[in-house]
Amino acid sequence: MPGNMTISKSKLRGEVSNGMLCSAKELNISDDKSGIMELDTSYETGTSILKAMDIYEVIFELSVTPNRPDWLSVTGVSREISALLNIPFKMPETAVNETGEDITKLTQITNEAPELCQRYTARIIEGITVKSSPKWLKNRLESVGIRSVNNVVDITNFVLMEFGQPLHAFDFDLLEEQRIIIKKAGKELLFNALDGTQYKLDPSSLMICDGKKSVALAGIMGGENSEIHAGTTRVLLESAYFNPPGIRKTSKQTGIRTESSYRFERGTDPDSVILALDRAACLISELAGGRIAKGIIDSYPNPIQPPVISLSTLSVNKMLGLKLSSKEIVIYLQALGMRVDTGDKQDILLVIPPNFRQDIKRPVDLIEEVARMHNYNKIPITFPTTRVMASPQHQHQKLRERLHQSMVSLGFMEIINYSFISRDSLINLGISPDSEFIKAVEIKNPLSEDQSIMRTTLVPGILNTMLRNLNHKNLDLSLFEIGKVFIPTSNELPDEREMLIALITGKRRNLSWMGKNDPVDFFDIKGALETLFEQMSLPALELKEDDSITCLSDSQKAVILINGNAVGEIGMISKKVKAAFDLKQDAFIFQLDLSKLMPFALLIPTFEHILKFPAIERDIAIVVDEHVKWSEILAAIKKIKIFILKKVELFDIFRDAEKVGQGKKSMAINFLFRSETKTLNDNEVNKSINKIIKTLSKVINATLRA
Amino acid sequence: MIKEISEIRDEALQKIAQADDAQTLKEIKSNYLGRKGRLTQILKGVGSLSPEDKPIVGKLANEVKIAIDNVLKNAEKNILEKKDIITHGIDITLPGRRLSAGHVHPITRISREISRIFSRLGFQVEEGPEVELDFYNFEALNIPKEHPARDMQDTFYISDNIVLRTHTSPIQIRTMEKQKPPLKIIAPGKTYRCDSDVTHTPMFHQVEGLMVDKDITFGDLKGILTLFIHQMFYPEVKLRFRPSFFPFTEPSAEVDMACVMCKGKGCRVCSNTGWLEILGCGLVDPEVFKAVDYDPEEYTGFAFGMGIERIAMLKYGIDDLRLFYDNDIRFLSQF
Repeated sequence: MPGNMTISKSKLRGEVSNGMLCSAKELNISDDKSGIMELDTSYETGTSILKAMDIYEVIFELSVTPNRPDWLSVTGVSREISALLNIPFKMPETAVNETGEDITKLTQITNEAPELCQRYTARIIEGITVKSSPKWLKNRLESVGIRSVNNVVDITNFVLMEFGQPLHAFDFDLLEEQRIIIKKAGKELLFNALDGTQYKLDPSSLMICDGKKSVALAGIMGGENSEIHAGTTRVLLESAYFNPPGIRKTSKQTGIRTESSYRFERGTDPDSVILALDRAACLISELAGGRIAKGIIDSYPNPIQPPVISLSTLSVNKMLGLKLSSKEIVIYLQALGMRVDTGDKQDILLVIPPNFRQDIKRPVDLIEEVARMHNYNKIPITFPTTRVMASPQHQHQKLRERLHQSMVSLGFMEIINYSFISRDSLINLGISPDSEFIKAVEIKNPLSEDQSIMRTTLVPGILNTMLRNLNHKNLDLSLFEIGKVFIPTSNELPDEREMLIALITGKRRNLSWMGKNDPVDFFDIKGALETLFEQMSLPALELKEDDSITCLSDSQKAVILINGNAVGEIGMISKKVKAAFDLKQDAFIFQLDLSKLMPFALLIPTFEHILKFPAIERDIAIVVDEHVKWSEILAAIKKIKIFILKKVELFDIFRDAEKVGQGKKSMAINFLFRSETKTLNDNEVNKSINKIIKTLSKVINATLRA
Repeated sequence: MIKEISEIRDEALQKIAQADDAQTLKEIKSNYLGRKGRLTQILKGVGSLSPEDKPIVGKLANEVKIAIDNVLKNAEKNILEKKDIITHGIDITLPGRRLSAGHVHPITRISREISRIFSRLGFQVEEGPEVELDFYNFEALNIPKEHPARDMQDTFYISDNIVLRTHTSPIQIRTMEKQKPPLKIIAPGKTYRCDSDVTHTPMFHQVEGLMVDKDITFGDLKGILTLFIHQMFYPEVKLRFRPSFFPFTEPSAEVDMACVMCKGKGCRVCSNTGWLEILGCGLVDPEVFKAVDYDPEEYTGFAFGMGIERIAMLKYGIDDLRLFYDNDIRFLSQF
């Protein structure tokens, strides 16, 4: 069954069922789903349904590239197959039996826009009867997806499919002054097309008019005012060649795309204009009766001449890597309907392509034809011999790769988000709609509001990724993304800045049977950043509190500095942003701007000697006021300039109103001393420790904890 | 005497077998093999035996001494091990303390793999803007305004003149504007088309390649791409070159690879054709060279482009395009 359904013997309501009665729709025969399809009793049992109902058609669905409009018809495809398989090609019958009056006595055609309408031809058939089409014609059209209208219209569509030449039939009696004028729309800018819609036109649109009004939007759609109807007895049949860009422009501007405009805008064959006209006239007189007026009106002021292309056989072989003889090339090209003459020079062929191949203008176009005829798969594989060259990797690529590698080694998972976000997501970050940070590159034709601006920050993307994962119960996340943000500038193009963002949320470790597992906090993200800096051999990072970062919590946010230069931001996502993004747990992020990091990154590390002499360690605990910062303690110690002091590490903070005092904290610090020149003795180290204690008590009012 | 020796042996071995701590073993050792041990005494007395008995008894006593000693050592070892397991033993089947591992997004993995293969062939990795001028995205690539070829790509517009690049091909133009041939570049990056359904995402990734020099042929293009696909998928996978159309190449081709899932027999992945479309390519159109001021009489070149998502899907057997941008860690942690 259609759709790969299988019907087999089964039990239905306890009864054995050997099959099923189907509707025509279920069998994919037609769209009729009104009920079970009943067959006429006259059919003989055992006859193929396809044969009995005359619905047997093999339908090839072809995807035709825009360069080959000549394949948009049955004859076009046949012609190509004939060339490829070297079998003869036969055109349909087009001999016309003209029994009517002389056409020049019936009508006249004025072409006022020959640059847009290069050729316009017409025939008139009188005394016809409009009725429904015979079954074969209906079936043929339906099989290619065209609805049957009446015999005359169906014939124009049939010939369109057969020759690729769009035709239009006018009711001749509805043409005022019984004549045709081809001109631009000018001031008459409203047009009622036969699809029942009124279109607004551009003044440069090409119109087909009668003596008084527009009757068709040239090459695209006919007008309501002159269409074939049940009472039509005289038909003016149009077959023309329109300028492709002109048709495309009007089709785009009006939004009308038809089988006809599709072909005209890609380029039809100016030489089959008459063939198609004759073919349609024959069929009309055959199926609708009537007399074909004598003669054709053919307005073709400047006949389209195919180019003469000189092709060097040497260049054919050079480009393709083949060794074809001039004779082989001639045979290939002639099979495709080209005229080939040998020129004055031995190597040169003069090639004239047929007019249906408007894609062929240059030698290289012919080279492709030769390659195609020869078969791409028969061209031998070779390898280029070329000068060895290798430029160094670009610095920004190297930096990105190194950061990427470090982040992965630190246990972060890489994500990739779309470059577009919604305007709302910026507002959700707390950016004021009046601030300049709300400005973004806007997409004129976004798929949705959610994807309407180019991101100016990676934060919304990573928060949405976090949300999606939380919804799937992936609660412990370490994510990062390296990607561009797009900052509008006064230049034409925005500033594309590459950023790194990292986010952590959830528990510190994977679920484990060992010990407790705390949620991550600020120092987890800071630790990751510090390790990243160490891995990247970056200078020590400094953090400075800063109020300008809108999406981070006031109590836990800072600007990341290197040697006083801001390179990024770090902190906890604020409560407001957390709520706006519907997040149910705290998240910590840092962001780095790669271009700002660049001056400090990728430096070659300089080796320092590993000291041979033993180290001496000392621990002390000092009690200081709660507000004293670790950085102040470090700065005070650094200022003393003790050369043998190599490392200072904090290993405990202790708060207890009774033992330490209200509003105080005890900080336990480990000091490591080592000399570059000798083994230290306790005395020297004690002296230094005393100096440190003295300084700390003076500068930050620290007392030694007993 | 001989009887006594074998009694001592049996007794000692029995006691060793019953002993379950190191102290008992120590006592047994001293009782039999120690300075005043029973076997030691016998050995000491061997000297006073008759010349006939001397070698027989001496030999036996020595053998028993060695045997007891060996068994003792073994027993000691066993007891030590047992003790170790009780006091320091661990259940080695308990899960270890794992470090959380980071993961590279599959798009990045494939993009790098492609770049690496071409880098080894001397191709330089180049990049370019994602918000691009119409000129670089279309005009210079021989896709003028009002050309039907523009319908091949659904474009996101920023303004009449600025688009989100629909392919990575503008990088070709930007690189050729800056550099003179010979030229070998590979250009990966994000691309955009306004299309979103089961098989399209509005943002996706492409890799573009370009090589320009004197005497580059269609055969060379086939050679380089065959080499690439064989390294990317598997050696000797069958390829097929089909004529196609791209405004910026002439002749143009599409490359199909024998289906990696069914080995060309026909399956759901290849829509029963046995072939998978893998990339588009061709010789650089002379119009493109004119746009960047290269002399098409002097230089030829080839260009190719492919979708990274498609390659990743084929390589890893991923059947849903949207997974790449959902960023679900259950997906990401597989790569």
